[in-house]
Amino acid sequence: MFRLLSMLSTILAFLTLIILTAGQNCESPQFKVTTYSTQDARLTTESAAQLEFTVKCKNGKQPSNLYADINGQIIPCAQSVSSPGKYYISGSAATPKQLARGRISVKLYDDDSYSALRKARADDAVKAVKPFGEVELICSGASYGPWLPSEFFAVIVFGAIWWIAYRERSKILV
Amino acid sequence: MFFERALIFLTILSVAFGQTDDEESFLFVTKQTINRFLVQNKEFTIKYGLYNSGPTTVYNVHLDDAHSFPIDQYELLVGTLSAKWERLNAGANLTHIVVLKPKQSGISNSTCAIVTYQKSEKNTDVQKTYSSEFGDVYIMTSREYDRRFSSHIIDWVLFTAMASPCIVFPFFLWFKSKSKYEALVTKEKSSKKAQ
Repeated sequence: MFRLLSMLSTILAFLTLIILTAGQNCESPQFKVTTYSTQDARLTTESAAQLEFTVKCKNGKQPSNLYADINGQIIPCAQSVSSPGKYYISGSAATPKQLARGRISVKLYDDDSYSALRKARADDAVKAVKPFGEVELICSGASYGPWLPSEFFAVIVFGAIWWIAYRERSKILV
Repeated sequence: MFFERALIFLTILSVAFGQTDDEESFLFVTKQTINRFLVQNKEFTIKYGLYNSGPTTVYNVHLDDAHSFPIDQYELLVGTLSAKWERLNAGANLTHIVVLKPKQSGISNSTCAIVTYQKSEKNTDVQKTYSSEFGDVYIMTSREYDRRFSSHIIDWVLFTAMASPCIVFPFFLWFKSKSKYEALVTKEKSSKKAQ
């Protein structure tokens, strides 16, 4: 009787341990992302970009911390103090070419995958770590204003008018 | 003799204790704007850089700058003015971007952002530091910016409309006399041919 009870209690303890550890992880996260990148390059000296996203987990848990892989560097994501659940990844580029029009993929790691990443030393081991998720930064590209200024078109139009008039005038005068 | 020995001992002690300050990390925070000009109702981008100098990780970093940009003067477009990070490793730096939209024009003053952090995970003593500031800035009206940078298409269209009487009226006179003259010439030619 006593042995049965002790066996049951160990099994129960083991099961609760599994449930507890499983519950802490965020399963199959879904991201809702808003991106921003500098649009007017004449107004700013550098280009800036920011990703704001919220995470939705299947089991309702929120990941405590997230880290982003930007250009090989792993940096922690900023979290909003006033509205919890929002994460921010920001970056700036000195030349607008680095944030050219297109999509940049950013890998995300949570606490577990981040510690696994830190323990990995070889390149293969680093690549083998499964990221928590991946979000995309959509850059619209910074504009420098219109290709040809409107003064160019004004000169062309008025120049054409003058040229036609001059041609007709020289016909008459000759 | 004894006094000299005591003095030497004391200096060695103070130097030894002074060395422990190097083991603590200090956070440097810069706050700058990457705008060339500040224009009313156009984006105003602020970049915060946090750098951890020193050999240890700092924890629980909080950045608070809501007091510099009151909600009645600036509208928040992108990012947040109160952000937190769980940790910042030694020697690492972070960037945080906030985009605002100034509602008013004129000279505006902004103060430093306040950053608080813990030097160790267990010790909850909070260290407060201030960021750099960019002082007084002049926010120009959108009209001033447009005068220099907008595409002026509408201005040219209006100019063409105002200049068109000067062009169209003489053209019309010339065209009228030209068509009359050409009609005369063709009439003469056809009458000559007939003859």
